[in-house]
Amino acid sequence: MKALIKYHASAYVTSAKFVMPLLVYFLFLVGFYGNSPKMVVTSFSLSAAVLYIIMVWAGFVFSDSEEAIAEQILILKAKKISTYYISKIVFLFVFSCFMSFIGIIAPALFNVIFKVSGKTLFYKPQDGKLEGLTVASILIGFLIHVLAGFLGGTVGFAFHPRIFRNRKVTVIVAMLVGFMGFVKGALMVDFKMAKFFVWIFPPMYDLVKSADNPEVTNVFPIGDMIVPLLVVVVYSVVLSALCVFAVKKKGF
Amino acid sequence: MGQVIIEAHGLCKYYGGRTILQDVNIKIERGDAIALIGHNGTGKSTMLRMLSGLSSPSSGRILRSPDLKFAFIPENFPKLSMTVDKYIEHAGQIEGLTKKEVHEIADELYRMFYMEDMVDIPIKHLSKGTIQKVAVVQALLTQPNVILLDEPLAGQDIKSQKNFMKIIKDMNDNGVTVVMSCHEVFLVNQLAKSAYEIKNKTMVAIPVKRKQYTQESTLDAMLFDKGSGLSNVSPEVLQWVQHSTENDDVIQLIINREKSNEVLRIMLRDGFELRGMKGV
Repeated sequence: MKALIKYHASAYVTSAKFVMPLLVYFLFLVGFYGNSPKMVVTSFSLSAAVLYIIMVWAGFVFSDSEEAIAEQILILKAKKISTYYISKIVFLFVFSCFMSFIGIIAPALFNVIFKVSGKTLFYKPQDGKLEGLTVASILIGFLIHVLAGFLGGTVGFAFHPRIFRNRKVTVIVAMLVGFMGFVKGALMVDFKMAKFFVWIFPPMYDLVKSADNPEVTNVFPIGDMIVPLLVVVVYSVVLSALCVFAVKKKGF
Repeated sequence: MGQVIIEAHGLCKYYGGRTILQDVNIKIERGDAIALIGHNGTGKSTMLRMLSGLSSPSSGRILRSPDLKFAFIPENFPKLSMTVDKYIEHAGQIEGLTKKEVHEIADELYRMFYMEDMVDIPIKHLSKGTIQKVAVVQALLTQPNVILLDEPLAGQDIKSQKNFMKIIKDMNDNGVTVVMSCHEVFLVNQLAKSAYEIKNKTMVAIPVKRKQYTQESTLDAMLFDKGSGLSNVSPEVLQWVQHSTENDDVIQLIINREKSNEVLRIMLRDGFELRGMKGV
């Protein structure tokens, strides 16, 4: 498993397919955190949501990037089809951690830069006081980023070329499903009946909504977030398992 | 009778409503060397994938001994961005070798396949023949129970082909089962113990005139100016050609030595110019 993950990392890096998602996220972070003041919770929630969408894209590209013959060779070496695909999903988790690290280190760096120039990046809107980042915000923010990124990665990966052969249509459907995970809340407000089917879409909206406590904007309401976080984990794992089952069943 | 390691009964395979294989039955014993012959698109590669478990039959069943280790040399190895050495290192580690072990084995294989100077080049920048050698090296890092060869000689130079055949022959002598899909009659004759032609969606056993590999230099490689191309080589010559390749400048023909003079005479008569010749 470890050797397979190292292979995926090496293949992904040498193919340079990570560059565009990384660049887009980097530009978002610079553009977003380049202006102060910001609120910790809403900023991190938005950054996690953007990472989720970027990871849908990265997961889709990753699933599309390996040629069937290369997969066949490695599957025979790994001896199990499921081991091979699970290793790919674990790699997506590792990549999500890497992107999340950037998503958290960027505001921390901007915070330091703003402090040097006598300002502060984050503030509390209740009393208008300026404040720095707390360790708790950083840790919970990182966790949200990782899970949101992994959720996006598994959504993109689930549209695997062996399951969905028409790639031109599939790329549109994958991005649509990704966005639906985000906008399903608005859909439920406008169409009451939507609640009966939107549960099928990724639970990204539920996670962002749980973090959005108007009373407290500088501390994550972790108590309210536990269930949505668990739902994200379960959704990602179940989706990954279904994807592995489908590619295994489909064969070459 | 040897130990049966793969047994297929009534295999059928359909793709998009089209029947590729119909009611195929085969028993493969440990140490077998089986050739699958047939035109492009007849289902040879599909058969290899089904035997290894990479693809499931649409109907019928395949029984495999538990824990069979397969190695696979495909016809078209992918043009990866990774360097040869990095890919081989990863491939070996996935098979459970340490980095040191991989390099020891790989260095020997690089030497045998004349590719020591190319190991730091990204695979996508190599010639077709060299990429095919990478496919061979990755498959030979550890000893499998079954080696699957899908047109394994495509694009390889004569010396490498010879080394490759010797390695496969040695592996087969040591009990490794070989299942190959190929066009080259000389490869079938030198390596296969049994052969099947895939025709009309099913497999039919055909006789093999096996030649011992130890019989050195029974073949000649002849290089001719391309002239009007391989398609214009006389059928009189083609009946003796074991293997042929064509590139931008030359045609290479592999001929049984006893027919070399006759082939040369006909080719010169037909306006081709000899560029070189050697025993292989």
